[in-house]
Amino acid sequence: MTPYALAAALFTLGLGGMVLLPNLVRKLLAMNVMQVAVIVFFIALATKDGGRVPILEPGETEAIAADFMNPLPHTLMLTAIVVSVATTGLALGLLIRIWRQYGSLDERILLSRLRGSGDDATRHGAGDDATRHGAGEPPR
Amino acid sequence: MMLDPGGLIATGLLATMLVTGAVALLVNDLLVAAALFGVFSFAAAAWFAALGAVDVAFTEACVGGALTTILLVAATFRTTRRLDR
Repeated sequence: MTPYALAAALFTLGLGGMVLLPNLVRKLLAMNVMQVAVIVFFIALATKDGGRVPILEPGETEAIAADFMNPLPHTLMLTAIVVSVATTGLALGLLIRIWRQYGSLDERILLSRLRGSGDDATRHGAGDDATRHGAGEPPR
Repeated sequence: MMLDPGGLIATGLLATMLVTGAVALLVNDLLVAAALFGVFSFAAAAWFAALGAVDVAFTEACVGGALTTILLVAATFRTTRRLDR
């Protein structure tokens, strides 16, 4: 199995998980799997047959670029990894807020609760009321 | 430095990534999912090292394997452990 096949399989897994799974935490994990798939793809692009790791040996004074793997995708993917952990942290923060507000992380339950509190808001005519109603009692 | 792509270690890493990645999305317990995701990230890091991208490998091991797992476990204790609600 080539790295490209692995990248394709992981990307499919991640994209399918993001689209099909109803739980928001699972969607986030699927997004992470998808990001790793993209990183695998770029790292596979950088390799070449007989290429060395782009580090000079001790005592080596001159380097021929053709002997080394392409280090540019490596540096790009360093940035991608850091962006991915930042995205995950922000998303988990938002998920904690959603859990405190609505007591669920399931997309379908969230939609029905949002719709329910929306009706209350029109009935009472107060948006503040709606959020307090939505907070409800989170099932622990 | 390069692993041969059909070798036992490379195949084992690929299988580990696919299996842990898929199971992490399907288990019903967030702590188990976080642990499996850690294993997934570590296998990815080992695979990057095998492909010659050592810098990416240790960044992925630190950030993807450790930090993301810590964030997930921290979120578990602030939300819920069960993933079916």
